Amino acid sequence: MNILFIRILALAGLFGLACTTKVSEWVLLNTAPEEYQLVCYHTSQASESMRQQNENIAAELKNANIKFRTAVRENEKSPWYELSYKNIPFARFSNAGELKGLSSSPVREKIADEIMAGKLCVMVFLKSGDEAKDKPRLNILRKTVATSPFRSVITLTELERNDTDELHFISMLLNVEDDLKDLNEPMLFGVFGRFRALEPLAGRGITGENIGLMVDFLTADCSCLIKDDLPGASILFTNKWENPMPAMVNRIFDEDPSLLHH
Amino acid sequence: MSRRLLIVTSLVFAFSVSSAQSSDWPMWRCDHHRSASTPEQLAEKLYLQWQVNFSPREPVWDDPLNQNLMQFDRIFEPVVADNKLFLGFNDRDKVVAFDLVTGDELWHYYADGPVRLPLAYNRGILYFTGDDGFCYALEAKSGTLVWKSSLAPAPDRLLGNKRLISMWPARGGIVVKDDIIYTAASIFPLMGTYIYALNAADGSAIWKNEATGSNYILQPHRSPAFADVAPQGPFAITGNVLLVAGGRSVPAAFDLNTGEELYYQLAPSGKTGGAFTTCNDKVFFNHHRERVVHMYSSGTGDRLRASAGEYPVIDGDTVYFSGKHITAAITLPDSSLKSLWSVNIRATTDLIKAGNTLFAADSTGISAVTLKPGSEPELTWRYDSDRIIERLVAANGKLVAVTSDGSVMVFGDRPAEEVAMHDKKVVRIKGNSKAARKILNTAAVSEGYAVVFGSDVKLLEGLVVNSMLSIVAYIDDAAKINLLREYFDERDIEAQRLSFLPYYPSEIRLPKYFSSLTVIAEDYGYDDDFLKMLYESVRPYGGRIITPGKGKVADLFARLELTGSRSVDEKGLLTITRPGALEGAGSWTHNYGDIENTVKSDDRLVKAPLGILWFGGNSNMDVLPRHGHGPGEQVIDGRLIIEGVNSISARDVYTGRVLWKRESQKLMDDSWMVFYDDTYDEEHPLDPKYNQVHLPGANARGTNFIATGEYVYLIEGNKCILLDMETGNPVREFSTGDDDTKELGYIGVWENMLILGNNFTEYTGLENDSIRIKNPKFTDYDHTASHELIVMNRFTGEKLWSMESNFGFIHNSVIAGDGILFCLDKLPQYLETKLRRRGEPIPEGSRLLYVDIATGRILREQTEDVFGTWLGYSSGHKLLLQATRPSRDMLNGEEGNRMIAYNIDSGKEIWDRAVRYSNPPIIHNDRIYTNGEAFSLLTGDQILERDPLTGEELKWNFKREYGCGIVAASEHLLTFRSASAGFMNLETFEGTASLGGWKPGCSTNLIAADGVLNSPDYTRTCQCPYQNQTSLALIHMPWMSYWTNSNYRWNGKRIKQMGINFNAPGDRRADNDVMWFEYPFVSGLNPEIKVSIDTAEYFSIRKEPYSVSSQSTPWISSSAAGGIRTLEITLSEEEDITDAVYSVNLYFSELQDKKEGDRLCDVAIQNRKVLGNFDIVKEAGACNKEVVKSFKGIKAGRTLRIELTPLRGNTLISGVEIIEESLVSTR
Repeated sequence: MNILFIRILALAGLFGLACTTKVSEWVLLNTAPEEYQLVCYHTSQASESMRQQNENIAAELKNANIKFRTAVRENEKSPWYELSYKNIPFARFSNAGELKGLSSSPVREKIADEIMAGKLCVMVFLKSGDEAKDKPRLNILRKTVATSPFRSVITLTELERNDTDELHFISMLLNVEDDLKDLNEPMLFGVFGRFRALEPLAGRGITGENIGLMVDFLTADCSCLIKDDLPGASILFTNKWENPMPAMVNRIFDEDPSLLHH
Repeated sequence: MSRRLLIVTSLVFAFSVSSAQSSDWPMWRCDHHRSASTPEQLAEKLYLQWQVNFSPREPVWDDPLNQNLMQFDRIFEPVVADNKLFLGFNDRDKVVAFDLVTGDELWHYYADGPVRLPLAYNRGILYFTGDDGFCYALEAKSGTLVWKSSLAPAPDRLLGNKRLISMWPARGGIVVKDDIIYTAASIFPLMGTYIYALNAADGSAIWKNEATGSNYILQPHRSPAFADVAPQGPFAITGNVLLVAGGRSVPAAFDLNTGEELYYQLAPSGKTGGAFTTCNDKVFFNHHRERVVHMYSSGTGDRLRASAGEYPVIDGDTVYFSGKHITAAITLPDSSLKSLWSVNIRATTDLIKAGNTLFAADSTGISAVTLKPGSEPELTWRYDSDRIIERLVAANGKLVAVTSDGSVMVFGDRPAEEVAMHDKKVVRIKGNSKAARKILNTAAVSEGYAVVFGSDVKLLEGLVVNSMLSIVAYIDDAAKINLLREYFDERDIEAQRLSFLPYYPSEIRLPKYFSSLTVIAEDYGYDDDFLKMLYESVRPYGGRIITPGKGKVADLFARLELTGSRSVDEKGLLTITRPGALEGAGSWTHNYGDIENTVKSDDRLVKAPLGILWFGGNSNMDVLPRHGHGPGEQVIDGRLIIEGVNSISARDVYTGRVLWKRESQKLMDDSWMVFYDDTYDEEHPLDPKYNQVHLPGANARGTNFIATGEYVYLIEGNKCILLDMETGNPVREFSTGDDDTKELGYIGVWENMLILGNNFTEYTGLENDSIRIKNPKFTDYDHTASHELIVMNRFTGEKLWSMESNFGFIHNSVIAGDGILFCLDKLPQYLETKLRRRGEPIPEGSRLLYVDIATGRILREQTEDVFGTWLGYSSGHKLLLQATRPSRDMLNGEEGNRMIAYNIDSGKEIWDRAVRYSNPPIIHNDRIYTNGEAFSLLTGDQILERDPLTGEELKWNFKREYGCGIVAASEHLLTFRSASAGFMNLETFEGTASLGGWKPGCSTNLIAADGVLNSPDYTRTCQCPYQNQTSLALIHMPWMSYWTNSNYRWNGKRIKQMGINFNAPGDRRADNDVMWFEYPFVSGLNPEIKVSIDTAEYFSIRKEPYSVSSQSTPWISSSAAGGIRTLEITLSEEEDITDAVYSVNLYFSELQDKKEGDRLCDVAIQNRKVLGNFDIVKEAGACNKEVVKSFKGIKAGRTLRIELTPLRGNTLISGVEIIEESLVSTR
């Protein structure tokens, strides 16, 4: 059966869901971001300056979805830091300087602002750096969004793979699935809620159909399954999730009820 | 010790040593504070005077955590008063008084059930409660009964903790203050709870609170259900607050004078609580783990200090903590705790204070520590013992010590010439009754529960000696009962083997299905109804009634029509057998009910309302850790099969009795990293850490055993072991015949065929880039499919055929029906989705197969639209459902977003829907149920319902609160965890109901089968303070009540019918289809129905529906609002509304203790007087009896207004029902 036809049929089923709040809005209002862990490993002879440094780090990360702690390891030559998500380490830093911008960065600030303003999602296009791969996929993305009835509530953001201001953010995006770091393809991440990034479309998977499915997911009525098992991964970010603007997508549905999933 | 602290100590000492005269120790831990502190000063040196030895106590609960949280009957708990020592016996159902000086037994008194809670003494009277639901008052000097009061609302019995006890066991440990005793009955909120203040003199109720059991409150996990405190444990009094022990939870607080509930911090308290509470008037200390306590504010129940110390002695503001050291502290005016001193003396098993001396017990003996003003506490006396002393009591000049192995030692101030040893003399029992042997041989029953009507000692002896039966004998001669009890007590027969109850026919209400053997040896003058009740109490699948073949009883049975019974008159005995299954009962096999994956039992007997049939009697130590999501239980032919870490066992579904257990190291090896992993800590069941992380377990792997009528087929490595269903013994072993078989994966049984999966598919090998996984537990697809399917004769092991997969036969998709084996041979859904997201093609070879199960011939191979991981089959409709299996704790990628239904005869796709759902799709006749939604199996359309108020179409849905585990179905119910246990009544649209009072499993364990809702305790390793943690079973009890959260919101359109149920806990739908909402709205979603009331001296009352007499709606008339003057209900918020004509029914019941003429009122509806001088008691003829006054032709448009004008007393009304008359006429 044609997948688009299935999508149309899907709407009938979605009508029956017990909760009529859309997935994107429900997650923003109800789902706390999952936490990262940052551990500073050092010997028991920690210097005063290191203690001060760690206090500063703790203060900086205070309002972010991260737990920071220190751990004594006698054989460490010098202090170092390890960043983990869901108890699995994925980044290592040899000094505190490398942690700069860990919990916030310009693009993340912009994405959060858009979500808090009531947008459905921000689609983050992470370039591969290979123009021949990136350009056609970016064109498909732009065209698909431009023709979507939800275009006004979707923000596009492009991100260079080697953007030095966003290295931490990119590292976290590439940790959404564990084999992404080795994938030299453009990727498209749907970011919604309290900075939740969906598993990306990648390379030839960035198609109009797959982008449509991503939008379908975010505009569907929230189901128990979403509450039980939210796809994707949380991105580390400073908490700014109080009092979001009403979800704009509801206005689109009000104006054109035919878009409702039924 | 610092000088300042010495001063404080001196002051404490000065206040505390106020008296050296003889004092009683009249209740558990001495007083209503449970302080363990008495003013009496014992002698400096103490000497053993006498000792009495009994057997170690067997505690009521079955597993280590419960045993730690509820310690009330694990050792003897003596009470001493008036130079007597009193003990309660949980194994002999009696209370015994000893002379405190000599140790001679003075008297004993037998109750009608186990005496588990500590006794209490007041003004010459000894009080105690029993599992028989009664509170007893005995004259302390003689043991003569002064009064006896039923705390239970009715004489119904059930099996509780392996004994035939009251359906509402009285486990409220009595506390006495100011000549009032406080106690309670019932430990399951769903059965109603009854908390009392009784006049100590005559047992009359000063107040009775039966209103809280169904309160809609947050349970642990901060998720709501209808379940409040379950009284179990010694109560305490702090200030003006009664602390009602909550068994496994923190206590609930009630106003001492009125019985009003003040707080119950069940959810906020977190993973803590227990039956131990001690207090002063400002703070209380409640059990946490081992002997550690948290400290709480008495005023609010808020926790003030975590892990404040170990079980303390309270002496005013001074607290002495037990433990490896004795530590003193003082509670300051701000309720903080300040340490004073610590002394290096062990008090690891008990600590009490007598005068200026602390007595400390540990595994080496007793130490006396004297507190002297201005100096260090000093060890002044020591008694060494090689036995573990667990309890100390100081009273009447004596120190009493209780050992863990059942001895009581009494110490006095002078050396005894000879220590009196009071060992019980056991008389040898004979068992040479021919009659007993003949009965046992005829019945061929030797285990289980039995009931005997007859007092012949030889017969009873013979039954006890020659069987393992647990026997209850009913005796029609009150004088004989005590003689029989004495006789068998002297012969060391515990009450669990043989107990006696008086034969009062009107008060004998036996639980259904429990008796394997009922012997009617004597004719007590039974009538038809009684014998029918007896037959109902007999166990299906071969339970028997045996009576002499000639005589009146046999004649009565001869003319009775007993459904399904079989009678044989042989050798002078009439045997009436209840063979086979209950009519309407269904089974539950495989992981999802049957080989068709319907996730439904065909059981028609289990329906709402439900009540408890039995609880306790088996241990969760034989069950896999809950979060590993091991295979669910399977139920067939009256047996429930359940898997443990290294075992599989069978239990009787009608009693919970363990029938057999097979241990297997191989099973333990197979389950490693599948059903449990390295986070599981078997060695420390009391450690409150998070024991066993979540795993997909059998959700992904499927089951590794199948229960059938003949065998349990159990995978062990590369073998399938056949365990005899009767005994659990291995009788055969099947293998694939393939030398390369490393492990068996799938297992299923269809008719005479056994389907086995030969080796697991290694999906990781299919991925070239060897995907690194972020959470290995939820992306381990290698235990989800089998490489090859082998079908063999399940009785002979003859291999019939086999088939290799292209990718893997996904276990959750291998099903069978109508001679066809259906399966999916494909990649896991996650990998397919991932390939699509990356624009990669899905490899060729995925297929949906229809295979002739007898021959292995492929009937149909479908390669289009092959998706998902799940197949289900409806043989009734010949429809195959293709889907995924989304739920909590499932593999990544199992999103529910599509279903396809095929007609298997034509092979055509009937419908293909993209629907979002969770839960394995339940095939329920012509419907599909998921978690909260329903669809037509025939069309895929959403199921609609009528709006219960407006009649408009509304989507069928329900709201489920917190809980992992899937929804399972039976003919009448959906069952699931929703904070507590919960269900949806499929017979009507009324919302989510609670079965409050225990924690159902995180792995699905609410299975309706064999006429019983089975709930084996699948919560092993769980520390949450749910009211009870136990296995239990429920059956349909028409007289029971339940409440729902309808999750309904009114849309403002004209209301055609509705009920307002004043002060009810929740919603319900009546038999006439009217939906009733509680008012004020307190449970779940506010329906936003506009009700406004004007009141004067408003008050509210609620009782248990069982307490009110009503033809069909006691749940309406058991609660009421008082003081209502006017009541206005908005019937429509629409514009231009015209009047409609309604019938209005007003429900009343006098719930206070009023007499005729005490309460009079006029009633007007829509400004027209409809009742004058209305007197509820006069109309009903009694209190607690429902009166419904109906008024037709009431015109109303936007609002309906009812006025109640009091003429004498205040107004009282229970419910208002409005039904548009056009609806009435169409009914």
